Amino acid sequence: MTESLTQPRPETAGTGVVRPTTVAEAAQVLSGSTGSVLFRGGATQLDWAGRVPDPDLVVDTTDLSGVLTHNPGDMTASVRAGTTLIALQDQLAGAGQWLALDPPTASAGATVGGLLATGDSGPSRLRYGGIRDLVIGVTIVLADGTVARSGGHVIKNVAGYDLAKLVHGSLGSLALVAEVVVRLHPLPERSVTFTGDADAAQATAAALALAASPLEPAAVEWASAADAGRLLVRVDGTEASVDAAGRSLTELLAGLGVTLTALSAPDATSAWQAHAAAVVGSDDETVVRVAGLPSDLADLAGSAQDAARVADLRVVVVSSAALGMHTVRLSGGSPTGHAQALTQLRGRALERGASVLLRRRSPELDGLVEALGPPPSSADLLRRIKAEFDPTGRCAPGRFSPWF
Amino acid sequence: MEDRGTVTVLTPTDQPGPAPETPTHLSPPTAGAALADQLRAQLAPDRIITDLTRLRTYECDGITGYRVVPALVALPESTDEVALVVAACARAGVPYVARGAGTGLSGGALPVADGVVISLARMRRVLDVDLVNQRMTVEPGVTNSDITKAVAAHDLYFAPDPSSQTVCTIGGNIAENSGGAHCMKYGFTTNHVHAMTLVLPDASVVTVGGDGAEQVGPDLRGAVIGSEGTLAIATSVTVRLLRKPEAVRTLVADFASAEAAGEAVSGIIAAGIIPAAVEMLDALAIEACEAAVHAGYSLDTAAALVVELDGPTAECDEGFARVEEICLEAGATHLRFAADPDERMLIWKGRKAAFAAMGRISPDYFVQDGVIPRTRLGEVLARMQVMADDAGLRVANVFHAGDGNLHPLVLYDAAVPGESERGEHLSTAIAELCVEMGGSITGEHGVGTDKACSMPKMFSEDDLAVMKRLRAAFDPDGISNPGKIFPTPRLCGERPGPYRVHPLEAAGLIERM
Amino acid sequence: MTAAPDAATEGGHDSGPVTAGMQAEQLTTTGVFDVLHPPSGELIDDCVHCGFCLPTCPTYLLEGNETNSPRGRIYLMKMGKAGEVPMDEEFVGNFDACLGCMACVTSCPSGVKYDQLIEAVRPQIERNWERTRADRLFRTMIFSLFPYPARLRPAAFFGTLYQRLGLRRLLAATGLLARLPARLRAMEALLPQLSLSSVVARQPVFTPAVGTSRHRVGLLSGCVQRVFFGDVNAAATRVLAAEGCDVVAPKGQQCCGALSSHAGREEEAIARARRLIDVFEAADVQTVVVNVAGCGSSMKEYAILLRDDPAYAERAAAFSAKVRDVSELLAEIGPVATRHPIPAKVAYHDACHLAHAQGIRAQPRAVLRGIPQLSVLDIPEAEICCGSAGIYNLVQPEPAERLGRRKVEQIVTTLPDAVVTSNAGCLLQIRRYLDAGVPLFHPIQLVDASIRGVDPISSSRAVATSSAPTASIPT
Repeated sequence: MTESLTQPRPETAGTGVVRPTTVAEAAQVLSGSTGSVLFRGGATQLDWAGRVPDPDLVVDTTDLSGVLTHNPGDMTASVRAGTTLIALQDQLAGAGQWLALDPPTASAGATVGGLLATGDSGPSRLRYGGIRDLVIGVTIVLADGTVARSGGHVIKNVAGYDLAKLVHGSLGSLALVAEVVVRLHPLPERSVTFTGDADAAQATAAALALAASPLEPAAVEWASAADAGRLLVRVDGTEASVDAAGRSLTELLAGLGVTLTALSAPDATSAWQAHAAAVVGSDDETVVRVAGLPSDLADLAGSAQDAARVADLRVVVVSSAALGMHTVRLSGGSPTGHAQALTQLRGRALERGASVLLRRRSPELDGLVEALGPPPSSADLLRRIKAEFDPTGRCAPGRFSPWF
Repeated sequence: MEDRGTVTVLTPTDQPGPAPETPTHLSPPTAGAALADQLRAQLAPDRIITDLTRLRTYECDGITGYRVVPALVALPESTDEVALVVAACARAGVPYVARGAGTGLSGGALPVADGVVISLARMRRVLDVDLVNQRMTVEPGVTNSDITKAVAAHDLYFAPDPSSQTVCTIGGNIAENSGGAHCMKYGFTTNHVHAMTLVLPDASVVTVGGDGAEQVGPDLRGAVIGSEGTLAIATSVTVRLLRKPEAVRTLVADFASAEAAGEAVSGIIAAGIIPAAVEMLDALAIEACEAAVHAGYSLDTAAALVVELDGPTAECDEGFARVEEICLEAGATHLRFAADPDERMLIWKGRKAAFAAMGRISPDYFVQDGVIPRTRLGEVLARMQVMADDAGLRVANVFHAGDGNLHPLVLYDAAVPGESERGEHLSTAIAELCVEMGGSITGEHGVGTDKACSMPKMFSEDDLAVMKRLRAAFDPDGISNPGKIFPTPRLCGERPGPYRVHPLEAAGLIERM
Repeated sequence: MTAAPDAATEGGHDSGPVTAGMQAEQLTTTGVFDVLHPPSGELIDDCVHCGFCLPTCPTYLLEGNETNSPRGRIYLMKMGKAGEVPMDEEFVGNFDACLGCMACVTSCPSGVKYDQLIEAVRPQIERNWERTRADRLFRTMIFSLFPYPARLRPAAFFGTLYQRLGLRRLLAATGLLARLPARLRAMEALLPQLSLSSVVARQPVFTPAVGTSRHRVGLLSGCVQRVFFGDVNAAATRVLAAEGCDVVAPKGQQCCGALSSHAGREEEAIARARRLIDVFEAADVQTVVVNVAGCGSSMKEYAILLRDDPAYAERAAAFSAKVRDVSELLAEIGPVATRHPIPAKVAYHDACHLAHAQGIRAQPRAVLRGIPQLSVLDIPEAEICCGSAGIYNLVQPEPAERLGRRKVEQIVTTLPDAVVTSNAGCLLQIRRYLDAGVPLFHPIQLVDASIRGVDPISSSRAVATSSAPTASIPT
């Protein structure tokens, strides 16, 4: 984790920062102000997509925090959006439960609201789904101060539109996420992580073989390394079932030429920490997120390496292999080299039907390359939604430029 | 709703007095007639229905209490043809309603008077199967079961399994965000769709979602799923397939009371077990299911739980042993274990026939679909019993006990004066009781026409106004399935909605300005 | 789920003939129906509109049209009864389109008796709807030919000559075949490849049991069956005798009336039923054995057909109770005769009138599985009709053809050595679309072969591979 991620960003002169403590205060702040506004939680993902230049107002949710309810019997909890994931997990652990989410930014203080707005997730998405699958209710505040709630406190509910999905991935461009209701899972009795060397092709084969098997691993991750790469496979379950699954998957992967060994608990913890850090990257890197078909892992990793080689950059690829989600980190070289590699990689990934999101880049890149790729077929629809929710265009202007 | 009176039949055919002496084809209203001529010129003639005889069979979906005869029915066979019909509607300002198999239980596919029904029943091709990446692209008219059938040989399946899965279509599942008995563990349709091709109300065709698990920007796929056909028509759907679990264990446990069964469910959850499904049936529901299917449920028990675990064999067996203990501790009077897949199928067949089988024990019934926090089950059951006694009606209960989704079936006889009205009042009151308990008016059937008037019980005016902004972005002219989800004065009466404190607020569960 | 609007009308239409002695439903709200057994309101109201019938309905499968589904048709009955829709071309067309396969009866969780409903509607249409001249003529032609072996036999004989002499190929080559009206073309195409011996075969009136007699059965020799599938009757006779049954095939028996009954020609069906009851009563048998599913289901319903006839009501009920499909009887009495192996995989096609109408699914499979080394394969979409459905493939040739092809596509996925089914109509229909290299049998033919120690499947395979190239399966 770099320093800049854990510290609130220094605000430019002229930017006011407000820290509402309740939904009502947040609504008041928005209804009583005009001008551009940036919503900020843990400030761990503010660089994603287009930049928001010098907002007139920052609504910081740091103080809009706290667990409102936790119903262990119903396996649900509600929190104010500024609650950090770590704080929530601490509280839930007492009841043997967790919000089954392990995004790489958690340790840097990512908030539940921020995670919903970005849609970020971690390795456990394979078994438990992403935050879009875990949120069952949301309260949002629109640019004009209107407060709206959708969903509720029960897991099963189809009354009304699902506004949580709408703000998922909206990166603060539609509304402030103010409160979130989530469904919980029991903490697994035991988790074991296995690791083994594997190149991209082996990782692809391993991920597909595991998906086709009935083993239900909790996570199948891969990271490139100088000498090919390394797989991390985690199994959650009971004492007996984890052992049984471990044996089966070791055998299965041995057939593909991958030798897995189980990590001790402390080694597993540090392996996962290092893995998360490898996804987050640092300020001077260009970090691109690519999501496509799981079978395309080797192809996309190869494309990333090609693009980096042409521009004379160093590259690291970190993949949620069974989910087909990859983080590509480019470093070294010149800004033009980064721009060139990004353009080439994006082109290749889009050709393969993958989605591409620029997560980090140095400011020098800004003039050299578009933050977003070509607009999707739904761009016009997105513009209309933006116009309905934020008619004056004050929420995170520029975030999705030029789409909307 | 207390002021909604009797069953709402929104149709000119329900005018009092005798039917026409010499029945002839009523000429459809002019807008519809013009549209029909235009569409006939553009589509094959067999794609358009305008005769009253056939139109009448489209006047309702799975809930026959609401009936409206459309001006025409279109049966397009491709995305382009759907877009063509929608474009014609948009130009003429004629509302349309998309329809799958018409099995919905909230009147979501109720036609609009003088409007168009777009039936997707002919779009049932499988477009692509990608076994390696475990996904499949199908047209909207493919039934939920047929998706699984197409890949079953490869040990894959589509997880959402609504009771009507052999009939209901994936398009309908998307409209309703269908779940089913196994959604406690596996989630709903929204958790199992990668991408969709949509025809928007301006007839433009867009793709939402995609190959990747993550997409850039707001999750439009998630916003459209569950929007009950008010935002768009899905014309191709890429679904996620799951690997069949290694092991499945199913048991039926009988209990002397619903409370004891509820206790067993709590015990299972508290033990950290997430069952694939936990279903509860009461004595009346069992009676109906048995009459229909002979699935071997005990007829002399007050309540039965169907508990199913699945997953890797070791995990499943360990959990199942624990479930058995918990059931016995909670006072189970009899345990029946499914010995093989056939017996398991039979148990489920019995359960899934429950609604349709009610016809065997009651001439008429309302199906309710409320959700409560599961921990308040006992309380709600007791309140429901009192309400049923007050109304002098029987209520059968079938529910997804794991996630608190109740399906009380209010039994009545329409031939007995007043029963229909009392039944409807009771049914609505039960849904609203669920909201009072911190739950929802609908867990899986949707709001549709049936529950639109109850929406203000659950959502504030601002909540609904913001939802309508989303609708306006998709459908500024309100031509896509109008009159559903949101209360309208026509359906619910002029009731200026004074701000009401939400029960969750009153209970201190949530807080608002 | 809720009450229909009470739009009561005084049965304003021509109420049609009411036969003396028959009881009219004591109702004034019969709408487009006359008072003579209109579809029962009570049965109609059993339908809760859940739609579970849709995916098993062949016409819904083809058209995706709500009206052309059991739910839609019941809705039409309800509206027709209330006088809310006229008995017009659309109304009649939707009932004519129903194959009467009764798959919906099997799939209905509410136990709606669609079979009784549709059989109530068909005579109403025949009485109260004026068909076009061409339609009338064609139907008259069918019903003056098929139920009469004496007329059908010469027709079949000339048909066979026509095939043998290559006239069919000549007609096809000159394009004349394509110019025949669709219905006649359908009839032409249905003509099976007949052996002349089958056409001229005669059924013995009495065949004694082999060894000790343990049962006295009457055999329905059928009309179409007798002409086109005389060898099936012969096989059934041999098997029944081998299993210890005295077999009586009473002289003077005629068509059982199934074709007429399923087409709504009630008067005709009633006359045939009475006659058949007379004939079998005289034969004094414990059981009446049928090897055509459609006939069996109809004969089991004589009790309903003749409910209003004081002279026959009771006798009809007694007769119906005696009727058994041949596989049903064999399963009941159990095997005595030794079976020899037939090493083959056969796809078993459930005839609708056996599976849906009579609920007989396990027995024919069990009887087949009694043959050593024979494995029985289930066909995907087993619940869907093959399109034969009585005279359906003659009067509705296009949908029938689509269903026939669809059925065969499903059959071939099982890669069978042979196809087995218990109904003459299904045999004709499937034969038409199936690769000629795959033989078709009635189950009783295989049982007969097994008892006699011959293997008709591998011998037919040998013939097929040595003969001229066969048509490929359309996919």
